[in-house]
Amino acid sequence: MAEHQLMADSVAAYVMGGLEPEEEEAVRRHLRGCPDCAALERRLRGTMALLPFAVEERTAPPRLRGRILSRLAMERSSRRHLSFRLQRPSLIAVLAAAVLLAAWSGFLTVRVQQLQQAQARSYPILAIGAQGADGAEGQVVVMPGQEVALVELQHLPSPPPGRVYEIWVGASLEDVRGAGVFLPDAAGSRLLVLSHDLSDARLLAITVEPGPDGSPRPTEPPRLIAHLA
Amino acid sequence: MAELSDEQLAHRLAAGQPEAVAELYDRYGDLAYGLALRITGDAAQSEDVVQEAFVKIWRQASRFDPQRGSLRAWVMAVVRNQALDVYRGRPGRERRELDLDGVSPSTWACDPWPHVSASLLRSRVRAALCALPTEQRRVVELSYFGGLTCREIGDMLELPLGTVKSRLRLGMEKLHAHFAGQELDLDG
Repeated sequence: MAEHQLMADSVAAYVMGGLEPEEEEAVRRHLRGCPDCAALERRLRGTMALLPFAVEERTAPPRLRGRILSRLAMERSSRRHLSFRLQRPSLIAVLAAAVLLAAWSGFLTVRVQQLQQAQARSYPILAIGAQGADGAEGQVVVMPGQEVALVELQHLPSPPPGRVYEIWVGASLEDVRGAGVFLPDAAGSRLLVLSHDLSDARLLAITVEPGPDGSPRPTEPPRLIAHLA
Repeated sequence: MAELSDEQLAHRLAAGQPEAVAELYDRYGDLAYGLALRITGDAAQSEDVVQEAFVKIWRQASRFDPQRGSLRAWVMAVVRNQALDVYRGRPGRERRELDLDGVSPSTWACDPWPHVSASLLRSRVRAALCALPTEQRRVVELSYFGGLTCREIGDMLELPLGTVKSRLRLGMEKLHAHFAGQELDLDG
């Protein structure tokens, strides 16, 4: 009985991840053959699941949300690139077969056009107007068919206190949607990943808006702009 | 999107929808950051912890089974493990209980009050912890929030290993009894 009590004590430590590896394995073996301790383990795991809720919610820095979403956008992009690389031999095989079977056929023409369209396209981002972004520059890299675009900026001045840069994409200056807010680093640079398919966008514009969340619509003329065509 | 249940949100996460991660973060980001800050004590590290935790959740969302536990309990388990990983300064691969596989469904299986608001839940859990004898509460907190092994707690508090384990079990069982005793009130 006393031995079983000792094991029950170890079950609690096991649940909390507080055992050394060799003892953890011993508890795991015991749990497989002891319904009482297995029930104790289930009870205590449920109890442990509640402990994190004792902590006070703390307002996370606003940039953290953007960091997470940017990271996910990069992961999605890299997965697609991997997928493309894995599929590429079969595409080539298909193309080769098409050449052999129907050289100069319309089918081959269409496939080649598709491959060409899959190429990333780069457009310069230029400062315009006289609102303090002179000297800033960058580029936007659009990957057609993929909901991701890269924006690289340099020599950006810091926006006034309490304000942020906001990126807009759309068909024209009158028809844009917000694509995110950001602040440049100390050197005036920033690399951003946008979770947007810019295939149909005609321009990308950057304005300075009230922080930390930006504006629903641009409140000033663009300071930088890229024409995506 | 804001009116999705956790179960619906989990389905969208499993489908790889980035908007679902944004929604999940909007729901539990501050709680996750609070837990990370509690464990690491460092704002910059806590940001990294929460970021990595949410990326892991997005990668592994298909493993989530709403029949076996609540989404928020799973999120917090992943955040805790990530935070302990950073706090202990050891790569995740070296700590078997800190990778996501270690957050088995049974680890987060029983959030008995999945529909109770976070603020109410916080007051309940805090009350339960405060009701513990000091020596048991200290061991529970060092184990859960400090991520210390029983041996490490014994060394720190100059207690025999068996005493640490005993206090930990007694404390956890009292917490369980406290929560179970309040379940009727919460359901009512």
